[in-house]
Amino acid sequence: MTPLAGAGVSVLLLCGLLVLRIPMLVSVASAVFFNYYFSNAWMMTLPQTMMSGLGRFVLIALPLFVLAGGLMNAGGISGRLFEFARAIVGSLRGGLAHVNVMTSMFFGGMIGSSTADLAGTGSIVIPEMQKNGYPADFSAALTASSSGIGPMIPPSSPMILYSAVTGVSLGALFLAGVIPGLLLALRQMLIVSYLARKRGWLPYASFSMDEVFRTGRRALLSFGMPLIIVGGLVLGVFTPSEAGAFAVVYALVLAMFVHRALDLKGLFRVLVNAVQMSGELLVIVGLSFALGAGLSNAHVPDFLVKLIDVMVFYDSDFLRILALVILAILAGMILDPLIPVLLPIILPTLIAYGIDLVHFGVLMVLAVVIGQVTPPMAIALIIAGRIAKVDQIQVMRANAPFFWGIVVFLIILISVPAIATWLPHYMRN
Amino acid sequence: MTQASHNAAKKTKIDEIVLQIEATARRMELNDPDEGLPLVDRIVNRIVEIAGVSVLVGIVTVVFANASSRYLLNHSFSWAEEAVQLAMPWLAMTGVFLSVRRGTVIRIDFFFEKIPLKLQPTIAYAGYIVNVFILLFMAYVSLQFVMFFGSDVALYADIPMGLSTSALVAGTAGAAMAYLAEFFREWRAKQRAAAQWSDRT
Repeated sequence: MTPLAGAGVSVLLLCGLLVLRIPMLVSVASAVFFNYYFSNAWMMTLPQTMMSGLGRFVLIALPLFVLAGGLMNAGGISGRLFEFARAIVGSLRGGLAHVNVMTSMFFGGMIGSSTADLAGTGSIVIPEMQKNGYPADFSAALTASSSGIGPMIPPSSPMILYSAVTGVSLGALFLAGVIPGLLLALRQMLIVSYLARKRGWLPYASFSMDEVFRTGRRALLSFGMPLIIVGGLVLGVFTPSEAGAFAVVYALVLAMFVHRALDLKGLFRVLVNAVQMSGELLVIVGLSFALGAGLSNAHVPDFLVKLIDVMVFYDSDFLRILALVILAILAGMILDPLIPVLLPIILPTLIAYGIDLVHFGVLMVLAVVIGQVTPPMAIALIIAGRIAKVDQIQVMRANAPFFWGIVVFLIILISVPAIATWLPHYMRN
Repeated sequence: MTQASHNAAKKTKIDEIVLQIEATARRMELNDPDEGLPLVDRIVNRIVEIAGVSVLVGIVTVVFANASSRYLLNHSFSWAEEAVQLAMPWLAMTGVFLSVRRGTVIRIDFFFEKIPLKLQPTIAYAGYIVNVFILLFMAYVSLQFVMFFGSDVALYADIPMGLSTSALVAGTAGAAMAYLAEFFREWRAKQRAAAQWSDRT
């Protein structure tokens, strides 16, 4: 068997095991063993590569941001953010739908996880939307697609993983996600406005400047966390992992001493959750480094470059990036987490084509977001559908305007890289 | 109902929603997943939880202290970065063990649910065997790695690297044992159910 064929079989093995419900961790490990065995690589390099992957200093930021997010969530910020969003946009037509979108955007800036937003806030907001006359399938679709705004806005777990795998500056990536994240929320709200006008949805609350100030004051301290993270990274005060540690301390003080919503027992639980949530991801990242090294030795990146050159017959960066993003979206429809598994395979191809890795990072996170609302996995649609008690297919249909909206946005983002790269370039200068 | 009382009623309702959202978020974060488990299982999980939490608290403390000291005292600890990197495998492996024990590992259920019901248990059992085999093989390879290179000393922290790399052995072997225990638990439950069914018929 040639090394390339061996690499192909190991990727097929990975997919086959995943389809049979073997955990991602074991599936990736099996693919690595198979690859190493057929390419006569020394097995001992596997733990060594894993250790060097796990030892990337930026990766330390992952458990720290997960912990900071958990502390903020347990500290009762979700209700404050909802209140504040209601005071700002609740008076628009389709007010509750707008509040839903804006809460997800705020939440993304604190927690960095779309699932926490969906399962936490979504489980209350979806039934509330139904009570206010919104169709169940629309409520679920809106909540699912809005939860995708979170990973674009710093601190974002997919961006930390991307930075760890590619070595791209996490600060630049966080900044690059800000404008696309805000545009994503704006796009969502424009679609809601159109539908609200068409279907006659009413405002949710009356507008009052006093209420904006009152709720703003209550939510103000929560916004300190993204400010610490982004400000610290941009001004060069912290490294990403230090920003994570400061975010943890800030969230701890806020939850335990300011909001008084967390005791020592609760703190222990939040710590355990952070260990559990980040542990498996860290090991998958370590194993993916080993898989990426094995596939690179088998010249898979060369093969990918040739394949893309055959597919993209016209010499255009746009088409090349589009081809790679389509590959990422297809993989993201099945793989979760997508970035640590796919990136080590395609990174040499990105470098060979001279693609801006910061721009591609934002596109990859968008591919992750699209994967969460695209069958067969569509984890966000499944969770939201369960909360709304509607069939997944129904939710998928209701999600069509948001889905096509995000596809159009993706194409615009590929065509105009400055949407993502302008802010990090501007801040650097 | 006057406009004022209508607005007041609506506001109370909205505030209830805010409280509900906060309560749900707190429940998500603070629920003990081991409630109702046998004592032995709870003890095992608690020991690993304490180990993982200690590592995480240690990492936060070292990173925070190092950054603060750099700015406040113009002094940083040369060993800090290396110590944190050496602790990472223990954090990762305790997390993996807990995920396996609590069935929260990342996997795809979608395709499995499409398999005919009759075949599902067989494939699930085969899955357990694959998991145990691969994890034990990983533990074996990691053990060899520790035996070869474990006595190398970390540059700044001045401790044997084996203290860190042995996490790979402990974590993968522990996860394999957890899958094995789960396999026997399910198998025994199935045997018991089959025996009850045959008694009844």
